[in-house]
This record gives sequence, structure tokens and C-alpha cells, in this order.
Amino acid sequence: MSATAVAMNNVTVHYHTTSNHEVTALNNITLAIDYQKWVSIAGPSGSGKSSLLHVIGGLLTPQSGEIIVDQTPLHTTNQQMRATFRLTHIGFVFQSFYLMPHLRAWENVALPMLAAHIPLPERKKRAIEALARVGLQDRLYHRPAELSGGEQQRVALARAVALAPRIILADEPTGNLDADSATVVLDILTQFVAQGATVICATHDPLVIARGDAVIHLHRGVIVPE
Amino acid sequence: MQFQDTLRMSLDSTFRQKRRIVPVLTGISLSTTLILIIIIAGATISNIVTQQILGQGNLRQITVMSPNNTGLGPSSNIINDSRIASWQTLPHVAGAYPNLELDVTATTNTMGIMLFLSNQPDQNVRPELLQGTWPQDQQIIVPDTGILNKLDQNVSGSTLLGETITLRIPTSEGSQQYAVIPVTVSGVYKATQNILGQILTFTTLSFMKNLVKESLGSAPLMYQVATIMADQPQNVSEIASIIQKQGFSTNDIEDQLSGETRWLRGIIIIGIALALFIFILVSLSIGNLLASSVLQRRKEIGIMLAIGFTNRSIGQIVQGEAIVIGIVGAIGGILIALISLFAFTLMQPQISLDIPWWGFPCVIAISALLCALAGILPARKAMRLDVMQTLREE
Repeated sequence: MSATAVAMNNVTVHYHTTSNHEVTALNNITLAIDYQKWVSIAGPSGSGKSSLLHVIGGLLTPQSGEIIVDQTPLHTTNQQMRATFRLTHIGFVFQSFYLMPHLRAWENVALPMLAAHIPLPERKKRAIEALARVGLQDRLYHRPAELSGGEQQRVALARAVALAPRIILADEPTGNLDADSATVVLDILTQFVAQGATVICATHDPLVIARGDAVIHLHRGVIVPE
Repeated sequence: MQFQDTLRMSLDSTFRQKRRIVPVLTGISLSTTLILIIIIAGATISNIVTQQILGQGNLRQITVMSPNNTGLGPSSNIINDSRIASWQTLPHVAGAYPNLELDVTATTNTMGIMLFLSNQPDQNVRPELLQGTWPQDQQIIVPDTGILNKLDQNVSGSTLLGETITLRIPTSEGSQQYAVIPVTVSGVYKATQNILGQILTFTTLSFMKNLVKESLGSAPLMYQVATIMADQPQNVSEIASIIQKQGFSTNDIEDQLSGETRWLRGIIIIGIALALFIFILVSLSIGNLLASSVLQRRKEIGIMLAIGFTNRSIGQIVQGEAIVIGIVGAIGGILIALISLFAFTLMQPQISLDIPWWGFPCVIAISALLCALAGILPARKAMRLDVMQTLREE
């Protein structure tokens, strides 16, 4: 198996805003990210960090170029295949946690497993294990509103790793957290990398960048030297 | 996603929107109740009417009508004594006799008056009349307006007992020739209305023919209507078929039932169509409800898509919500209908409701189907949601 978790070759992404302006989010990006590494993507707001994560996660399709993630050529797959790819290969962590407010912590963690046709008892068992990994075994039945920001992000981390993906994409994972909570979250991510995951993290938080093995700097959709 | 998981998600998201779905559920329930009550009321009334007709009529009787209104038409399809004699020899025929129709148009209200006359009954022709409540006498409709007026003033008819009345009897329908026959009243019976408000009608008996004959002397008689009695009710249709092939039209208990219940079926169909129309309107509102719900839950759907749900499974969840609403609404409607009918039977214990139980699963299936159809567009809308756009909105 190749050691490259993500390989991008001349990837360009445009999208249209709601006011129908075309934005070039990524411009001829070429990069390679190895397995079991923590790579941070840094850059100012609007530089294309989130777009890069979304392309790697199969949420955005490049208009040109090639992208292979965990042996899957995403530039040739359809929407359905990309959804299945996300489910089985990628764990997403968002700045705003994106938990379902009406679901309990374990149910939020079990949500991707539901899409993966895993039976309920197995879902619950695995969700409880994932929550234990992030230290929330005593918060299984709490709803997001009953948890702190740090705890919510840990639930989101547990959800991201519930199906044991090889790549975790984290978009500003500490953006909404205080320093203590951010440290806990970064410790968990470090632990995931140690257990074999590849973490790609869009951030401008120096604390996050310091944890990583490498940094990719983006500016207006182009990779720039540090 | 597995079926039970889709169902669970649909149930969960449906009942999270309690406030929004209550009016729609109420609409579905009430229209379901309406449909069921119309069906049950229709079946019950139809049953009552059928029982009443069967109670009045004779299951073995076939009324034969000549297509010739004047009674003077071609000899091939006139009803006369020799024709009646030939019918008496048909297989399964117990008897045949002519009907001497009396002028009953003079009735002043919806009640008919039936008299028992003192002549001897023709036991071979109407043996069934000799059983039951009128053991000896024959019955006819009073044709004379003056007598009817007199009867109207005293419907018990007791004052008529023993009186001699005059009958004017046309020799056939539309004929200007009448037989004028004095008869003595030996009993009076006030005919009741049937459930449709129609007057019960009666035919004269064969002995009247003799009276007419006496009045007309030796003139040959042609009849507009005759009655044939089958030996068994199940042979009625076979005999009627033979008579029809001879060029006569026939009417038996089945025809009467069909005629009596036709209007009822029409009303039931109109009622059900109206209720279905309401149902369809409510279903459309489900489409609206779900479409706005999809808009409101854009972020939720976006998250689900981001973590690996396929567009198809999102569509199935929304479609499932529509079906859940349809089924729950229909079950609510059935409960309301059953409670209403139970209350009705407490108030009107003499009426036995005819509940078609097959209707319940049918309305649930129809409701689920209509709501599923209404859910197609919102489901497609959810499937087409752009996950990136919803995440960017954040």
C-alpha cells in the first residue's frame, strides 16, 4: 500500500456564491500527505483551508486536477460513491461541532454507524467505546445543550472516529474552545494519530500548528512558502 | 440504511415537529373519519333498505311487463290469457296471473291505503298472502279519490268496515275502458311509508279479473302487467331470462333492490369523493409542511450528508415522515370514527351498524399512499440539498 494518504495534482476548485459570484477556492494545488501524520493547513480566512478539507473529504468536486484519498480517486467518483467514501474513510470534525441537538451524546456518535447499516446494539456498544476514548463515558445520555463546548467537541471527535476511519479532517477544531478544552481536544487528536489515523487540520491556531508534523500554508487558494 | 433505522429516523423527526404536524394530522384524521362514517352509514342504510324490500317483497315473484303501452300492439308481445297459460307450463313456474293495475294516482299524501275485500282469495296464485297477518282477505289499492279523502280523515278505517265502495278499474294501463266494481270492505290497513318515503304499492288480485270480465262481458282481455311465481327463489332469474327472450321486460326482487339502492350508492360515492378531495387537499398541505421542514432542517441534513449519509437515505427519511403522518392520521381517524359510532349506537340501540372492517386497512393504505405521493417533492428537495452551501451558511 502506498504511504500517501492524500495525493492532489493540479486541483482547481471554483464555486458560486449565493449572489452568483465565482470564487476560485483552490488554484492548481498539488500536494501529498502521508499516512499517520498530522498535517495542519494554515492561512488567513478565505485562503481556501476549508475548501481543501472539503475536497479531501469528497464534499467538493474539483473542476480540474486529480485527487486520490486513501486509494480512492475522488475526481472520478459520483455523489453516491463519495458519500460512501466519506462514511468509510473519513471522519469530520467541525468548528461548530455540528451535533444533532435532539440526540443524546451516544446517539450523535452512533449516527454515522446508522448510515453504515450497523445494528442498534452494536451501534450503541461502539458509540460507548468511542465516547470512553474521549473521556466522556459519564456523559452518554446528555444532549449537546447539557454539555460544555469542549465536551461537545469531544463528542464530535468520538463521532468522527466511531467507524475507525483512516483520515480525520478537522476544520478549526479548537476555534470555539477555551485553552483548557482546546488542549484536551488536541491531546485526543494526537492520540488518534498515535493509533494510526492521519489528521488533517485546517487552522490558524498556533497551538494546533505546533502539534502537527507538517504545515501547508495557503493564500488565496494557492500553496505558499511559510 | 436499514428499514427499521429509516423508520426510526422518520418517526423521530416527525414527532420532533409536534406543533407543526398537529393541524395536518387533525385534517387527515377528520377526513378519514368522514370517509369511514360515510361508508358505514351507507352500508347500514343499504342494509336496512335491502331488508325492508326483502321483507315486503316476494323472493319468488317476477313482474312481467308488456312493451306495448296501449295493450293493443302486435300479438307477439301482448299479455293475454293464452300467454299467461303458456307461462304456467314453464319449468319451475308455480303460477302466473294477470295484474289489473288500479288508478292509484289519487293518493293525497305519501300514505297508501290497503283494503281487505270480502271476496274469496285465489289461493293458487298468492298462497303467501294467506300466511302472516292477513289470513283470509285479499288486498287492493283504493282507487277512488273520494274514498281516499274519507280514509284520510280516519286512517284507522274502522268507519269503512262493512261499507260498499266502488272500484274503477282500467282494463289495461292507459286504457279508457274501466270496469266499475262494487266491493264490500272487510278490513282497512294503513300502509306505512318505507325508509325512502315511498308509498308501498300493491297489485290487485286475480279475482278482480273475473270482476272486470263480468263488467266487460265477453270482450277479450289484454293485460299490461302479469305476475309469475317461481317455485323457488333461485329459479327466478332463469324464468325471467325465458320471459325476456319472448320480448317482455321483467322485474324481480333483485331489480327492485338494485333500483332502490342505486341512489344510495350515488350519494355514498359523492360523499366519498368529497372526503377524498378534502384528503387530497390535506395531503398537499403535508407536502408544504415537509418542504418547509426540509428548509428548516438544512443544517441537520447537511451534517448528515457530511458524515456519510447518502442523498437517497435522506430522501427516504423525508418520504418516511410523510408516510408516518399518513398512517398516524388515518389511525386517529379510525379511532374517532369508532368512538363516534359507539356513541351513536348508545343513543340509537335499535339501529344495528353494518361496519365494513375491510375499510380500516384500506383507509390506512390510501392515506399512506396519498401522503407518500405528497412527500415525493419534499424528499427530492432534501436529496438535492447542497451540503457545501448548508455548511457555508454556518
